[in-house]
Amino acid sequence: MAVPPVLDDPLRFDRSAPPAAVVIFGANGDLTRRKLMPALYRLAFERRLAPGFAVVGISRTPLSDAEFRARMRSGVEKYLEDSPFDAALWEEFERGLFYLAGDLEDAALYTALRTRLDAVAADRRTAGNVLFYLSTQPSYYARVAEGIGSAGLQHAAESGAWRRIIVEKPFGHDTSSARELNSRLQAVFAESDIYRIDHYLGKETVQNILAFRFGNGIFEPLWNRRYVDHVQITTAETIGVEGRGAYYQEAGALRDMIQNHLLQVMATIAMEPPAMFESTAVRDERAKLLRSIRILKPDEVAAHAVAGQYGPAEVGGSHVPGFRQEQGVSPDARTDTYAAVTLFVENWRWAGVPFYIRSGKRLPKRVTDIAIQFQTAPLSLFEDGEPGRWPNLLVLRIQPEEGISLRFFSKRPGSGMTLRPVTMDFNYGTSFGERSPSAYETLLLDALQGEPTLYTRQDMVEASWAVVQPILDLWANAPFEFPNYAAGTWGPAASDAMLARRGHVWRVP
Amino acid sequence: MPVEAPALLHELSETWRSFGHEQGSELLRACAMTLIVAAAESDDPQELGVILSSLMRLHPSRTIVLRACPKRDQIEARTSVQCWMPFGRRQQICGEWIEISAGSPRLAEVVPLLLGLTVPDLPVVLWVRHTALALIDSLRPVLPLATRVLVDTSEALDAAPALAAVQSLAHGPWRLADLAWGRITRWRKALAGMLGALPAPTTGRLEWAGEKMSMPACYLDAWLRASFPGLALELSSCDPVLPPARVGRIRVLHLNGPGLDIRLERPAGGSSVAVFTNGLASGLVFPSLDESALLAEELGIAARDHIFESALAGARAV
Repeated sequence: MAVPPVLDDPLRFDRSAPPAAVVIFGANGDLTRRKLMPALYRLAFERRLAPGFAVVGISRTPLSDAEFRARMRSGVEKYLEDSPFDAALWEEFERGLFYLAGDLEDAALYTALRTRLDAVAADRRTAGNVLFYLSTQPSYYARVAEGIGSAGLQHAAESGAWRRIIVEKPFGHDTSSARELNSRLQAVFAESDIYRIDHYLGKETVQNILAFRFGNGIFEPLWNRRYVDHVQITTAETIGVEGRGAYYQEAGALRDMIQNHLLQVMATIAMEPPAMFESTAVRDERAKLLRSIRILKPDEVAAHAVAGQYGPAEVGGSHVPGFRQEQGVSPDARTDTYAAVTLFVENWRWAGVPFYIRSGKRLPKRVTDIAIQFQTAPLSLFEDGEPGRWPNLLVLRIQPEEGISLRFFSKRPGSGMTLRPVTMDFNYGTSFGERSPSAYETLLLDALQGEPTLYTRQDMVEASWAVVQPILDLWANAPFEFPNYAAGTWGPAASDAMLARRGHVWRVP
Repeated sequence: MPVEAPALLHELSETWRSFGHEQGSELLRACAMTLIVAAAESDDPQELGVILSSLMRLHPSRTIVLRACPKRDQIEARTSVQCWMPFGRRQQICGEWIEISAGSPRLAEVVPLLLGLTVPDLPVVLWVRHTALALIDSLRPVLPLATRVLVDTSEALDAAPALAAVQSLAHGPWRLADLAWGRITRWRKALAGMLGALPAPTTGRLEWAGEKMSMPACYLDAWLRASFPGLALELSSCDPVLPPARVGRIRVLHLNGPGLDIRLERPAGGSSVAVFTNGLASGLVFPSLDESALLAEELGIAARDHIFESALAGARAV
């Protein structure tokens, strides 16, 4: 029930979800146990879910409600982060969990779902609101949406009730499949009811980029080609494919990370200030930035993009298999487990500033950060300290040590004028003792409230596919000599060479 | 021996140094503000310690507890560091703690000491645990040090003098807040939810326990009248017996209008509230709120609270 504006107190009233049923397609999958259910449980723990709340899990495996609840409980107990498990609360929460087994391609499933939703609405008083969550294999997304449409479940019978759908990534595997998926989703749901989830946008530290840029006056004047030399965005993982070999073999780092998460991060870093902090204004600016990224011509790809694949190595006393030796991976797989690209934004603010983006598996460290390297001082007054080698660097750390640091020069104590680079650090934990919500908590609550700011839109998805499509096209037939980097190293030499051509080097995060 | 700010800060630095040697990088020094707590000599140090330790988890600070001790002739101070380990983490988060006790004649001397102890460039919040302390002449100079002043009139037996005291503090350079206002957040939120699809009330009745009106009742009345201009709200006591300390005194709120009949009833000493909306019965639970929860709510608000300010300006006590 909406709070009338005259009585609303946004400073004090916690955001909470209206009554609703969340229908999870693919409820027996890893995402549901690891992320979705712990996030919903945590929202219940914080009393942000309405008493009229329910989850209907759907999967092919036959399970009773009780078996489904037991599985979900073990998932929540195992994967709940930074928060204790409360058995009494779980007992109350699990009363709203229901399960329906069926084949996603069978129309009977959707008829049964309608009956189940009617019963749940009566039993749990969900007011007819339904949030569908597509957590199945991507090849089922369009068919599930069409099944919902055939059963007429996309429209609520109750006055004022809503129906929305969350779609997990990947949104297609190239530009044309993304367009086709969008068109089939939009044949059932209005674009305003489609919530394409990119969990990076739900991370507190990614949201903090907006606060940092647009809540402070001192950085914005420096945020342009006059002062910024280049930008590096890094996502490094120490792990390999961890049982996702079959999926990852078809995806690769460029599709799995750069096309979605890292281009969204880049858009957040580089977008223009929105006229107001409101979903359409913020998403318009993100979309505009994505459309401003220069699309590489086929003959430019080799100089602007590097693919890598890790080979076996001894790391810390143990043997790490190469990608081609991982379970479920073909011995001659051509998958990029590492990808690095150089992108340019064609607008007045960023013209000529390279944005280097890299993402890889089996790198030496787990880290995600954004480094904005500023230009060096125009004239070096001090001979010692190599100012040219240590330009000012602003690092926004997304994970694991969330925070912001600024590198600058300082005089070393003692006689003489010797400089040394030092960092000024802000650590989230130092200023905020409170727990940060997980990305899925934030995003699920947003979708339940009809707040789409942190979700991606059709035009953003298609613009980001347009950026990587020329690279994918060239790599599809490129004669790679994989593996080209050893597990536990910072990627292939060609990636260093890509930066060296502009006189830059990858930082060591 | 005189108490001096540099010596206290040096003592804190030494504590950090020795802690650092013992704990290494597993320790995080956290500070988002200076929190000055004006407390009475009679305040139980252990109870206060529990409140502030709990608060520190959400709002790490350099906490300075200033205890006004009428009969003492000296100023005494001691420093300590308080740490806690967030659930599931390996690193302890630590805040600084300075406790100063001063006799009434010496309170004025504490002001320069506080000036030297506040953390540079961060907000200074003053929590006056008993509103009367804010009115002591020798403590008045402490008020301008603060960017925010928090008072608590929840326990005032009679809203009339308490309201006058709070209104007298409302025009300083600081932002004023009253923890008693936080005590009605749940009432306001419940009403906001219920009235979403219903017509505006035109008449009503607000009842409380105790002979005189409580400050939370006073604020609820003011907020309702500010939200619904023209609302005729009757105010009365329904029970002369005061409930125990920290138990809410608002008992009944009844709002009427064309097509509207809402009644919220809280039994004596209870945390459950019976709700009747146009004939439909339901229930809410308003668990008792401790001071750390109320302080956390206030400190979580960075912006100016226009709704509170408007309610305070329009409040009346009967």
